[in-house]
Amino acid sequence: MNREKITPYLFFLIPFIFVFIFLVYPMAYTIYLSFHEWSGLGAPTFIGMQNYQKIFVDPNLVRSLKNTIVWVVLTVANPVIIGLIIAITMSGQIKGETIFKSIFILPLALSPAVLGLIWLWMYDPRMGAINNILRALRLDFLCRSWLAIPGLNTIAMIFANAWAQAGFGIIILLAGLRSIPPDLVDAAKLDCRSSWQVLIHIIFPLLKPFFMILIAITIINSLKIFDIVYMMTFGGPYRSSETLALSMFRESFRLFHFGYASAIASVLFLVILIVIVIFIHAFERE
Amino acid sequence: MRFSITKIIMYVTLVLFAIAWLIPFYSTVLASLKSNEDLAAKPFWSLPEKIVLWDNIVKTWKRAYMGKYFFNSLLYAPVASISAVFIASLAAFPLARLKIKGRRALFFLFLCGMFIPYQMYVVPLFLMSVQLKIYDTLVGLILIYTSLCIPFCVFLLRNYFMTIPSDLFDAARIDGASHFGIYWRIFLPLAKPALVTAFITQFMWVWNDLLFGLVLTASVNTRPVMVGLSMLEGYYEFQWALLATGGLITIIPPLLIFISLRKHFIKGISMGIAKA
Repeated sequence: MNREKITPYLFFLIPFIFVFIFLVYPMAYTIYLSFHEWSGLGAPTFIGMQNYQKIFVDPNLVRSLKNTIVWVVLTVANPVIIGLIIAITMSGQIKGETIFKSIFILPLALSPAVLGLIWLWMYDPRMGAINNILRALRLDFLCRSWLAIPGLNTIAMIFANAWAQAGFGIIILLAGLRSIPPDLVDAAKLDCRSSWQVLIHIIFPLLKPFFMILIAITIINSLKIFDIVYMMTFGGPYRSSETLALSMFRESFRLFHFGYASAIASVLFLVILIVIVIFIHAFERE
Repeated sequence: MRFSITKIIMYVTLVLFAIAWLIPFYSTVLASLKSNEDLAAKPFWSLPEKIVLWDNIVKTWKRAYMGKYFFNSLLYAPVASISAVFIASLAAFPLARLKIKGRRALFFLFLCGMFIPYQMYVVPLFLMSVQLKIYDTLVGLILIYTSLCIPFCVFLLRNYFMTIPSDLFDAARIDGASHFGIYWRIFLPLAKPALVTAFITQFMWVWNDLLFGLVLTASVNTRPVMVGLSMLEGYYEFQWALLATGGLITIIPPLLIFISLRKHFIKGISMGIAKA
């Protein structure tokens, strides 16, 4: 009888050991380090909240915070707009749907590092596709060295990421559109409503939960954006295109400010936690 | 009449988007076929004068060690993802079907692992792996990749196990089957589709990872392929023919999976949307 009660817990033994050693403990240690100053040698010195205070006055980190906000705002617009346009055009009976779908979804199978490399090549000022196409269209005045200009480089990378992530919006919104019973749309059309009215009054409200999932995930992912920036600019030139995740990487593994980097990670974690809580509340209200 | 016009607009929109989406692939594949000189002399859309793909492959695969990195990742990705799926299934079974105290709390613990950003682990994992003497070793990377994959697998498998009728469980109990027997002989075989989906998403994740590879490796014998690619960028700076070739080499396994198991891949994405 006693054995009967223990076996269910035995199942957890191995998974729990892994998760505890490599996830739970490191997370706790990051929080501990965030209140200390430490360069990796000797013992960490306790400095209270100073690391956290520094984040909001350090010009590099303030810029990095701003860049991250730009990433989040512009990236959220992407799957909602591009994803919706393509999902709606694909939701009807379209010939070659599989081919179109594959084209848009394929970038999702690729590593962000490869995407970064592909777009580094696209943006190459002399040989890259973007400037070449602009020249061919006689739009020479629009040619730029896209990744070298502070401000513009972040936008350029967001654009590259939009190309990569659009398929995600398409998958989710297409699933949403397909979940709407066709009878409902037909009935609305019989009511002599235009397609436009059907879209706004019938389809959009039904898609709301799908939009919410999409927006939540996109916000969380763009807060953490790292690989693409690492490959395309490494936050440069002069740290102008750094995001929080990249600043955290540079502060820890290039400058050895482990305490400061841990504080940046903790702030990132806190922001993501807030986003999750907000969305869970919104879902429960639905 | 109006109907057909809408149709035409739809097709035109789709085709335009599709062309725009293909340009990056087209220009990368074309670059990998050309020599650097050819690339510099003519615009990117021109066809290669002479196809030198083999030369480019030799230069990246051999001289820049991409082949070595490729095989390192070809070890990490399947080993870590299969171990993670198996270990996670151990936790997912009681979470889905057994009445135990603290079930919700335990599930929440694993769920947290999915949402917490990697930045929260990476510094201590680096320090720990140095202390445990698993820094820059194959074993170290496999252990850490496996752990990072577990939470998502637990989530996915637990949800799938919940869909297996509880009558089946009860009937097996009445027949005197042990908990482990039920897990091993009934639940695991029935959950095959979910196991495959979990394996694919985690294989892709490990293969595509850059951050942990950067932090936990420092030599040719251990570096995963994406770290190799990021180093290639410095090795062959602005030699786009070679960089494009290197990039395309790293795409092969995910591409094969994508082509052969597209349904599973899409299911993994829509189910595992929480995974970063």
